[in-house]
Amino acid sequence: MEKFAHELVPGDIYDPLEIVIETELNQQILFAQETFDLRYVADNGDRPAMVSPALLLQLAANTKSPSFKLAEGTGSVLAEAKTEFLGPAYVGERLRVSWRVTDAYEKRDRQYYVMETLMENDDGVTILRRDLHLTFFGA
Amino acid sequence: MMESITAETEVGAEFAGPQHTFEPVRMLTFSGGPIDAPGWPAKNLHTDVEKATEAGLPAPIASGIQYEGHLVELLVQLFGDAWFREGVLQAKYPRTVVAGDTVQPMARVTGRSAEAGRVAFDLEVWCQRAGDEKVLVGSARCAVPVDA
Repeated sequence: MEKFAHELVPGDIYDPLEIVIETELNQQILFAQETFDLRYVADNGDRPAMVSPALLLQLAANTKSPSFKLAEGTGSVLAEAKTEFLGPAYVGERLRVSWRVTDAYEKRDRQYYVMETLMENDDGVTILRRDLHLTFFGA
Repeated sequence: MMESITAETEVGAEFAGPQHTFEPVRMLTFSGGPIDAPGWPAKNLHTDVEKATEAGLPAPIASGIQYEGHLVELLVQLFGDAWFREGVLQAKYPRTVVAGDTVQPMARVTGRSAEAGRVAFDLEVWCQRAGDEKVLVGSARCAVPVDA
């Protein structure tokens, strides 16, 4: 994907992100969020600690794709998001995040597009779906 | 410990999460990328004065995802692990948050319906800055078992 972020149109697809969630990154976000619920820091029975949902939301951002590219003097703004949590993620799992532009619209003289984000776990199960309504300043 | 939503929770019930003050170190840690990455923190609208100035902002703004994360944490406390399997959240971000602001996630039950051994709840959700300004508004839906 060679386009700048503000040039995307429905049908465009970003390169996916694959990431193994390490304890350190999870705990970094827990510190940022002042959240230390035991489910995120200790094993859950036969499962490792859960990944902070704030980290899942962050990883679902369009800015996390290797394809994300802003034109000079422009910025990406998240105006709205709809998120479906479909399953937990655990520390140590490899997650795969993919993005696809599904819609475009104009509102109050601004251009927006909707980017669908899907997050899958090691087993190929979708654990999160998030629709991002994005607009751009300076574009 | 915070009260949870149970099958008996009534429409109108209101819940408040903990207040969070957006200290610069929390904003950098959230939005600066992995802390062991070269050149940390990554420069963006949330971490860097120059980037914010280029965008016409007086100061870096917190990522909306950061206070959305606080709201999701409230929903996890209300619904437990069910939230991770079937929670749905719709959010808009009408105002920005800057360093020093204190923000609190809130939820109010607006509807409930019985479904095959479960009760599904609709909530109005928001994050408010001290002074009652809403910086995030939206809705959420999740269910609990009848025996919860």
